[in-house]
Amino acid sequence: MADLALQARTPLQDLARPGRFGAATAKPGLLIEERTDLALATVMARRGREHDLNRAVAAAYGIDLPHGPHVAAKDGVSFAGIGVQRWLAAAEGLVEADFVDRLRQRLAGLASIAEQTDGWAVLRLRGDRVRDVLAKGIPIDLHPSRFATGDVALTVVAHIGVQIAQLDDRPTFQLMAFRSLAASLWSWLSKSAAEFGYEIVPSGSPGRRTDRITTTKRSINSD
Amino acid sequence: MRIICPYCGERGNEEFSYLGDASLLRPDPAGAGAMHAFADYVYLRDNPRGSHREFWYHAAGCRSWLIVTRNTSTHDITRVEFACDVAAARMASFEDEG
Amino acid sequence: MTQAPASSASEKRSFQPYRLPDGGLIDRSRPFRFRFDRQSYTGFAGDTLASALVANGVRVVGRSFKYHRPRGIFTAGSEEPNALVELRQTNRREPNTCATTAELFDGLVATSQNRWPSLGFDAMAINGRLSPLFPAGFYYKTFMWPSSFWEKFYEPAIRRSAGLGRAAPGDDPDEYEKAFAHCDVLVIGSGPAGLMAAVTAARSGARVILAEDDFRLGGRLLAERMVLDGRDAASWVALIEAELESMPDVRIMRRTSIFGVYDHGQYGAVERVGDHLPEPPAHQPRQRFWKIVAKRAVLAAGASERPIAFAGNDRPGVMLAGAVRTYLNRFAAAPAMRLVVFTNNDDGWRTAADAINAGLPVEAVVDSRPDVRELPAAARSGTIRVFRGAQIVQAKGVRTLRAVEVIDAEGRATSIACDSLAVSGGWNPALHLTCHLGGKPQWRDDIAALVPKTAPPGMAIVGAANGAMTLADCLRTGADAGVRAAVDCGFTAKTIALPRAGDDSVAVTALWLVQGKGKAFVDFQNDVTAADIALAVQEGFRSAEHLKRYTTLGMATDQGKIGGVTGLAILSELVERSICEVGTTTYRPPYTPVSLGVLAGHHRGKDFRPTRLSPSHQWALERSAVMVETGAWLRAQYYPQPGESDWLETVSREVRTVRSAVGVCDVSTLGRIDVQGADAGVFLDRVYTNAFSSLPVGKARYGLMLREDGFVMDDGTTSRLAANHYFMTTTTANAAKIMQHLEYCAQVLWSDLDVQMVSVSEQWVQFSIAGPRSRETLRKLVDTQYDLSNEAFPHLAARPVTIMGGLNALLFRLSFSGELAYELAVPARYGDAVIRGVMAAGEAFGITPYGTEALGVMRIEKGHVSTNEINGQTTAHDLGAHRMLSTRKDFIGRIMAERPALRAPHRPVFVGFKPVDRAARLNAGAHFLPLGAAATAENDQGYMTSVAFSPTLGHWIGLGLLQRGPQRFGERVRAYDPVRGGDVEVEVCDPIFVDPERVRLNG
Ligand SMILES: [Zn+2]
Repeated sequence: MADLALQARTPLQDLARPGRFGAATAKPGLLIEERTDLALATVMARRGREHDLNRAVAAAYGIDLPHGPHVAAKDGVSFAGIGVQRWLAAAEGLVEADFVDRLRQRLAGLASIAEQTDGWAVLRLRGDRVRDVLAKGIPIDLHPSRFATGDVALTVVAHIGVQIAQLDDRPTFQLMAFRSLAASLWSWLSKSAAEFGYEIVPSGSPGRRTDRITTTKRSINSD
Repeated sequence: MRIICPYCGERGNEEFSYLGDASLLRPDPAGAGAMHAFADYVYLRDNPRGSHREFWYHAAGCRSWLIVTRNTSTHDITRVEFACDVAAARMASFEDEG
Repeated sequence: MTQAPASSASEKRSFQPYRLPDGGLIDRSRPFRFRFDRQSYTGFAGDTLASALVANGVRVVGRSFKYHRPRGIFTAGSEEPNALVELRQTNRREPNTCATTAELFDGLVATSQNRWPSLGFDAMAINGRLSPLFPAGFYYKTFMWPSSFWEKFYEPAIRRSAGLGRAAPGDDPDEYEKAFAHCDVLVIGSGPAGLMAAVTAARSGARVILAEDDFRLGGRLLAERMVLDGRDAASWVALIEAELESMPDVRIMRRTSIFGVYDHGQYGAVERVGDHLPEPPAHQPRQRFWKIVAKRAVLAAGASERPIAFAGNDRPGVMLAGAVRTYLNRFAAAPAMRLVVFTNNDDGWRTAADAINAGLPVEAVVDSRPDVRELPAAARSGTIRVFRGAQIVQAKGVRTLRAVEVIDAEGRATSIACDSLAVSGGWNPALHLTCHLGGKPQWRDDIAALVPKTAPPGMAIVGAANGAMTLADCLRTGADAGVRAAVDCGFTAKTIALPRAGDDSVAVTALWLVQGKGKAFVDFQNDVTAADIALAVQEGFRSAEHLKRYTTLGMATDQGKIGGVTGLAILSELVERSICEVGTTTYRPPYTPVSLGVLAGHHRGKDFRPTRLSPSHQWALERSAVMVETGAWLRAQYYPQPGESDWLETVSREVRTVRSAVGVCDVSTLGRIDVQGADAGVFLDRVYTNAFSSLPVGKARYGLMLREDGFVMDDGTTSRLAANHYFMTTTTANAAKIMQHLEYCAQVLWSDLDVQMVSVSEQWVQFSIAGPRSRETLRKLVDTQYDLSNEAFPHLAARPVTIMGGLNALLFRLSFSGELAYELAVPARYGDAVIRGVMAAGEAFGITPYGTEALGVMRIEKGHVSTNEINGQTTAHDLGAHRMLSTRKDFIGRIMAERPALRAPHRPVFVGFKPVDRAARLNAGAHFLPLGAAATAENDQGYMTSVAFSPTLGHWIGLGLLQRGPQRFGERVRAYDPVRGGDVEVEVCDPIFVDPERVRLNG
């Protein structure tokens, strides 16, 4: 079958095409970028190995696993708390690399790993009106005093389960939904952003390195 | 209603699904009278007015099963616990006694 | 005031005869044209439709619901019972819009309601003269019999003669949306109390949302000539508004109604984003539905004035006294040329004073109290006739008020000519929102009104909403509540000097009903009179709730805001119990009407609910697949080819191709759950009826799950990929439910087990490749180092492979069709590439894509159960799967499945059916009856669950549940289906119609 080139398709390939859309505002209120370079995996601590897992992740990635809905990141690798003893690990630019295999090796016996690279549509959102757009679907409070850089939440937008994280103070938000629901999420997002005008930025456009998560984890057990 | 998930924080009840009475324990299937015990476990429910410990599942969030102590007439929620913590504590106390 | 009629046509159009020469919060530099009942008029920016109609001298704006009496504008707010119009045209037409709250815009078109054929001549007004025939309960009594007449005759007739406006004829062209807001302090209402609450809370640092129904902040301050800190009220409002606007954590929501209070600080609100515009600007919604979550709320909703019931109190020209002031002061529009005031309280006198101030002649003030302490300055000036201890017994005139008849303290009757009557029966605090969580109001004699008894948790009630009727009290209670709310949210209070304001007397002595001849209206919108209440009491409807249902008092769009309290008071006098004892009806959301469109928001049409699409969706569309909804998924149902005449021809061709060559079907919709951990096998043993800890690595096994009550919950194949790693599949329908169930088992029942699970449904796209040529097809895809021979990769093998030159995949040898078949799972981003690869690989063998229909036909031919059989009412025994119930271990549902009744011999059991007449068609849902037996429930022996036309056998076949079915092969029964008119003789048979020896499967 050598004649068949294996063409990967991103979840929003036909929908999130670069350009300027919605109201013709002076400046787009929202910038949208589909991130297609993230290798993803669910990491679930094996029973009784929680402390060893913390140590192993620290040793392998220099990251303290967050115990709460926060993301901790270093050098393009991040671990987001998505449940009790459960994380979503992400690595930038490593979709076609062996990030998940190496994760399995490094955490063998300490965590159950399931690859999710293909399971999620990933959007990065920023712009002056990003919070106003998100308020049309995200039921949780995204006010800076309540949801800050490094915070993660799993919630629902327009009946679609999503994971949202604030990546930096600009602010940039990362919004993720299951791949099969990408078109429905897009329908909500594009309609919600239209009144402010929005621009779809090509994936991996200049400046994305600064999108990296810059803070380390904030524990909910801060007492 | 708003439920404060011990993992996720305060959320609307639409993110959760409800199961009911959290005081019910799955009977010992090998015990004497297991059939009757299971019939009670599966079908019989009290419907109290006032404080009620009940299972809620954070389906759209962290996917934790929670035990919520809720007043059924005022909807006041006084306590939210991880169901697995409650189960572990029960097992520990059972072992202590055993 | 009165000006000479203008001569030219254009001047005539822009002339507003009842507009005061100056004043008002309107922009005279921006005139707006509008049409009401086809007549053109002009108003100004800042007008409501009602104020513009008042300025143009339009008196009759609608007809009443039951008697079709001419009605005029009665209020200046959302409690308006009469001036309900159809706003806009065609598909934007919205009935029952309050003219009193509809903001005027250039080009507005409104039509009155409840008149046929026209407002001036109403054919139905005869109802008014026939009114002895239309007492309370008329509909219940008259249209009860015969019941079949209801649909054909009574209802259409009533709808034409009554009804409240017409719905739009087609789809609403506008967009609606939902949004969420969070704050420390939500302030509801922006009158003096609300503004003080908002500004004190905000200055303390709290995040504040100030919600105001109106398009302008200020509440009653906009309508009164009041002075605060030496400024007129409007400029004081502007000062506070500017301060609030400048604060980053304050959100002012104008044109926003808080319509409901829900548990734990949640509030429902509608923001009318584009209702004040001809149509919403591009990309803007018309309305937005807000869900607001607030730690604290301050209710400053004010109060609404109530009428006094007397004969003819609904005549056009009779208006609430406070509304008269609103039109004069805020809109510079004169509702009257010759005004009479009828009041039972001091506040009513303000109307006389304001009218005189505006230069309008006031004929008389009629105060029902004999001992009015002190007359306002205007009355003292001697230009007004003052009647103390007097009552108006009748208002006269049909299309407009012509005179009122006064009975003075001595019992003498006087007729006073006038064109307008301002009525004040006192003020009702707007306490509805305090009752949405079950609160009940209480009666306060000193203000003769119901006030909130308790507040919902986290809510403070201030100002007139709490019975604090003077301006000074409103300011003080508002400021106090704002500070307290901020402190409750953890902020340090900043005290604030209260503005200086007058403390006008608001003394009131209750007067509900003036006895007299003629209809005295209590609920204007539903035409409920004082006599109707008396009739209800006479007939035994003595509780507030019964009165409401019997008379329809309080059931119209104003929900009793005008007449509710008055009705209760009259009831309480009739039954000689206090208003407290009589009680109130239940106040429920919404406080004001909410359009269904805004509740739906974005979720209409294809966005009604989210749709899930497989990675092969685009490819399927290119193949002209016909799509079908299965749960949230959109799946290919069948793939028609040119020349095929109907779905049956296509599906039959797909089935024949699979059975003779090879086909491919996307089965990604199955739930897939990754189960890992040292105890994964033990865990699966407990959730499945059969064993999985004994499954060898590299093999798949069909598993059955029960609910704890012993009925079958789900089935699917689960494979063991490694010692501690299983890959579970669930049915499409139950994927989420099974995940939740497994989490329950792991977290609640057996939290000591080392088992972790996560859905990987979205990670993998999965294709079923089935048919005798499927191995050859796969051979071209799977990389050469993997041996696919029957020996190396037998039925139920399950292993990771690479395909197409190194792509990681999972290959399972599973068959739903009964053919030699595989399922191939690959990472979803390659789903499109792989389906194209499979088609290319199978081309030489005549591959066809097949959809859910062919899948269904083949599983029925093979007698496999599906959702039709696993329907929540069937046991493993019923489905012939009892051999899968392990006797060597416990599992969920084991004990309850052993209940004798679930094993009783009379329970219908799974078997197959063929029509005796092979040309006959079968219907799912048909019930089985013994031949010759009557079609009665006693003779019912089971039912057909699934049917299909089998292209393999050339006739219809069915699966179903039949009493003692397996012992009755060869017997004939009746498949009786009265719903679809089927009555077919069928032969009971083995449910496996094709290849019962499983030769093909193992080929
Ligand atoms: Zn949670």
